[in-house]
Amino acid sequence: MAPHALWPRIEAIYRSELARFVRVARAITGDRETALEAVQEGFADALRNASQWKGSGPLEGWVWRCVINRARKARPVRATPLPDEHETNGWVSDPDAELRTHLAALPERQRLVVFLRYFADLDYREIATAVGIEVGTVGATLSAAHAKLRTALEEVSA
Amino acid sequence: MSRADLLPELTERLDRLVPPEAPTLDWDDVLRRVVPAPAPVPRRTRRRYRLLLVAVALLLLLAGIATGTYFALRGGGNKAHGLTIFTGDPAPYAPCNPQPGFGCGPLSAIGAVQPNGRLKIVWRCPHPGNTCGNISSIAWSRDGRGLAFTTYGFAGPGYYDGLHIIDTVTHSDLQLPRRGPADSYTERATRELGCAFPNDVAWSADGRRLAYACRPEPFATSAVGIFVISADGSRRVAVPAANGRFPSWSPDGTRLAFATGTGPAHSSVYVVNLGGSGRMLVAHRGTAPAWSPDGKTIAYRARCGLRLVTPTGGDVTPPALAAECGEIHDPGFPAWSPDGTRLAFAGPGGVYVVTAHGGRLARVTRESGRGVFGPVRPAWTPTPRFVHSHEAYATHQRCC
Repeated sequence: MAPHALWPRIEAIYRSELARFVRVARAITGDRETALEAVQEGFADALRNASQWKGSGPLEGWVWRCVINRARKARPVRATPLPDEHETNGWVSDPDAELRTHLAALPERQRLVVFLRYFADLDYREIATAVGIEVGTVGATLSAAHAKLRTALEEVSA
Repeated sequence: MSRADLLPELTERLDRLVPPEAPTLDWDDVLRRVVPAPAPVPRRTRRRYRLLLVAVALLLLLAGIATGTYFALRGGGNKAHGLTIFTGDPAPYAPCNPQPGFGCGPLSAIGAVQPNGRLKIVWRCPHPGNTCGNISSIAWSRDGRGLAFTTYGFAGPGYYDGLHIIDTVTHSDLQLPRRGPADSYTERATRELGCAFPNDVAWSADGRRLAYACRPEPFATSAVGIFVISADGSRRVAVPAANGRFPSWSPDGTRLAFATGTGPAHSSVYVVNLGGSGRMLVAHRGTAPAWSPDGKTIAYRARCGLRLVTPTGGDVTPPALAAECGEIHDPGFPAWSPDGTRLAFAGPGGVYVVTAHGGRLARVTRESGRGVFGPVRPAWTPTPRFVHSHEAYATHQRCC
């Protein structure tokens, strides 16, 4: 398939799913403007590299990988996507600081799987393509993340 | 996909952490990142482009001026600047002030074709009665300094009849035979020229000699013979085995081409050495040969149109020139341009120029270029030089 033949499909994904892309990018970068820029650049990467899509997985998952890569590169220098306490553009409320801390403490793969599952509502196949892991690994990764976050949630509740 | 695998409390907390939003779509921004707009040309580069354009425009302008100048000097296309023709009766007529014994006849004049196609009179009959007779042939020397022509009266010998060799620098007019009583004209002309009616004068390439054909009478189609005379008139010799008309010099001055008659149907073209040897037939049914400046070709008037032969008789008429037979069915006598690219002749309704390969036939003037007794071969001068009539008149006054 000619690379340009994918452009209309990628554009359709952009027009229908932009909000979810931006939300995940915000979760990764911790900053709304940075997230918007990462999404735009991610879609631009998808267009430029359309010829590299082999068709083995869903196209949307492959576009997600482009956007995630851009968001990871655009992420602030600090290791975790923790927003400033006073920032109102990304994370919105302080009572969830404990959760943010635990999210930041997750391994990156687990964190990405959580974001893609909760914020983008992707199925396991799409998540696998986006993150670059086996489909069977997605469930295990998500379960591991749940186990760690459940502990944090219980601590907060207590 | 079912959301059974999600933790409800985590979903709620994450929604508070990163609430959903509706960002503004900007797909064009994505496309611009993929296909960026061309970078603006730096100011310095634009300035260079502008300078380059100005330079190219100037070069084109100069080339145009040079080309125009070149064609103007050459005569331009089929314009025939430098072509001189006899104009038997051009306008405006010169004022006639008949002297005792002379009437007012048609004006004898020589006109040069201007770049705009009009004629400029370069020589006018100096006699106030316009009785210089009929000019029957004209020739310019190759350097443009010497103008020779032959003339004879309309109704018997006139005092201006004979062969004239004009030096356009000194304005001297060597007239042969030298003037004398009218009733002794034939005797004087026969003694000095070999006959009473010289015609078809032609300069040699070196400008030191002239050849001409002699006729026993003005209307005769046959000729007494062909003579060669030095430009100062001091020496005259007949060319043996050359009984004919229209002598035309080879560029090296060793041979002459000539025709045996006036009408192409009853004439042939020959080449002969000046000493009379090596006479060779080069064309049947042709007349008025003209040897090209490069010596490779002889043009002549055929029964229909013009044709070209080599000096050994090989027909080299270009197809395009042969095809113009119908268009120039009745041409006059051809004359080569100095550069050997064009031929001029007096045709019906004017004087025409055609390229030697037969293209671009064009009438350069409506003046007929025909005398009382038929067409006069046009003459090209390499450097247009004008013989102002008052100068010729002054010459006449001095000598008579």
